Amino acid sequence: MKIEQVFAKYFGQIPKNKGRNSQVKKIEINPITRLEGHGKIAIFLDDNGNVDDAFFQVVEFRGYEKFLQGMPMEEVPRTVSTVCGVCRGVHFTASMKAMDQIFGVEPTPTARKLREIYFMSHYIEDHAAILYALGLPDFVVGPEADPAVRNVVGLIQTVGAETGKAVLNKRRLAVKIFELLGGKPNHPVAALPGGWSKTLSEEERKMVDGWADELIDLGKITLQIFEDIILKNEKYMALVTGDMYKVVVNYMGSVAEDGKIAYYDGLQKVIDLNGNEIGTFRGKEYLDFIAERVLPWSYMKFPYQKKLGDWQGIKEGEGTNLYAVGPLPRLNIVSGMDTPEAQKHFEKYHDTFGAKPVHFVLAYHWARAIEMLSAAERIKELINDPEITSKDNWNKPTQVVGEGVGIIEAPRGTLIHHYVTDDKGIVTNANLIVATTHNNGPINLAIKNAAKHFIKDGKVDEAVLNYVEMAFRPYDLCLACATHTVTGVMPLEMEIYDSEGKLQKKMRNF
Amino acid sequence: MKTIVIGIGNPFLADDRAGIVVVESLAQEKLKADFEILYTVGFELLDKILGYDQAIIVDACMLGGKLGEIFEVGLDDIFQTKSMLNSHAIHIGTSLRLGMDLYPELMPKQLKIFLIEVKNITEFSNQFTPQVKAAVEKVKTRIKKLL
Repeated sequence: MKIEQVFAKYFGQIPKNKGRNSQVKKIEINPITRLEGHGKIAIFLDDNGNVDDAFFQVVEFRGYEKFLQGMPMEEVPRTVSTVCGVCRGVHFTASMKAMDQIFGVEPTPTARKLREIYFMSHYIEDHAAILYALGLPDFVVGPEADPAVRNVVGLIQTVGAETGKAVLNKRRLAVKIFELLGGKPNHPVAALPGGWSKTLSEEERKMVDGWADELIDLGKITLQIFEDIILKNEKYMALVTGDMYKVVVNYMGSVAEDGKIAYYDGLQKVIDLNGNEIGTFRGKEYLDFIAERVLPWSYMKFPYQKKLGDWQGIKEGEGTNLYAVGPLPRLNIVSGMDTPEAQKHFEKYHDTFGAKPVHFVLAYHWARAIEMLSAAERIKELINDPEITSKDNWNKPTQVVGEGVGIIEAPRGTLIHHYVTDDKGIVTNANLIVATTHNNGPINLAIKNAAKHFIKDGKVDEAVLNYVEMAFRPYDLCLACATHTVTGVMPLEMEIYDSEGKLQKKMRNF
Repeated sequence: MKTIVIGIGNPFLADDRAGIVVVESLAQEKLKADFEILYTVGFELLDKILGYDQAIIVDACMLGGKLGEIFEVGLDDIFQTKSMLNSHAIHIGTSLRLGMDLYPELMPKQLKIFLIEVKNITEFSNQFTPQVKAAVEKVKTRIKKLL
């Protein structure tokens, strides 16, 4: 059913003056405000109590783009690291790359490698947090387990304290690398246009070299847990490869010159749902590929690939121009990993699923684990590079070019930071496109597909709520992370409406 | 007693600065404690408090209380078992409970959390809502008594 028909059926005619904050109050019963900070899923049932449609709403915090205007570009990286308290390194890195271009400089080879070690350490801490707090508990503890134990605490109680400690102790080493190279505890400050302010002594290099071995071990442990708990469990593999968690869209990511995985630098590549290349782009050329659609009921825009035509709606399969980003899309796009152990797992991953691209959303978690290992191996390579302790860490800028686009593969997916400055390097315009925005369409599809499978005859319970949440958790939404009130930033409310549009049930997990 | 005081928040967003301002202000008074700022309450929080005898955490909250109200809580008060976790919202109670389960010998024996009920967390501003500003000063005073 098309959205216009949904509105017409359940809420009557919608006003012609639709905007982002349309007065369609019934579909957003309680307006989503940052104060509550929760997302909302609205599920509409048909006359038989089966799912007719589902909509996902969250607030995307866009205030930074305005806030950055008038700011010296050199201040931007440390400022945008506050966009997200968890992924504090990704906005820092993307804006730093844009800053290089604003000042018309490239980092020295040593600075480039230090930046990449820093970024890879962030990959590991971030992916590990997602996997152990979010992805693995559903499987280790069980998707129908009591919410009281279906979390990282329950996971550790299941795998044992010694394994839990080993995981957290090793993960902590990634944080140590992040903070060592970032230049300040917790939050990075080491970005220079054309460089990186923190260099490594030989003593520090040896320390990080040892930590890299532990992090490779962490990657291997994680993949082994994945193998033992999920791959060898027929019931779980039925979920992983089932249609209920399948979303068929196009994919976007970054590749190196040889077509292999690229996180910090690369060529951006888009493939269609059959794996055929739609095109590649660098920098500002993203504007030739990505368009954004505003829908009246959604606070967040819906990006789509305009080389595949005009907006087609929230649909999957042939004809869609929606696309996804993140670990699963990356492993769909690349020809291989750039490190040996990760490459073995990449091959096993694709052998397991048979067809490429892989459209099974739960496979995001497996792809994430492979990237975690890949990042650790990359740190090991870089920390043993002969130039890594060089003090040649800065190409000092001598000009202001005035425009820069920094694109990286953040753990969650392609992140774009686009800045324009005046001739003094003061920001006049900023555009940030985050991974979760790219994934807005696929997330809606994932939720609808899961809801359609698990909600039958109007029966909705706690277990159903979790099965629907499992559909979008692999995307690991990063939206309202700028504010950090202790009550958390992404609790969820699910509302079930009957065929007459009447609210039948409301469920919360907060 | 080895003490760490951690302020959590966003340094650019009005009332969400509460925890950060408390800690940055106290850090200048050369008190007998270590001070840290965090932007999140995930595993990073656990990393910072291990090895200390006492941990004091300050954060903004929206628990439905009166604006500027100060909640002084311990671990059991804050831990909620029912929450949807993503890596961006590993609940503060979950992080601390994890520490208790895995590192009982390294977790602080004394742990206190100060929460300030706030209102404005979406505006880029270095100004507090007046009630929050008053609460920040009260929390500073209360923490100093613990050091």
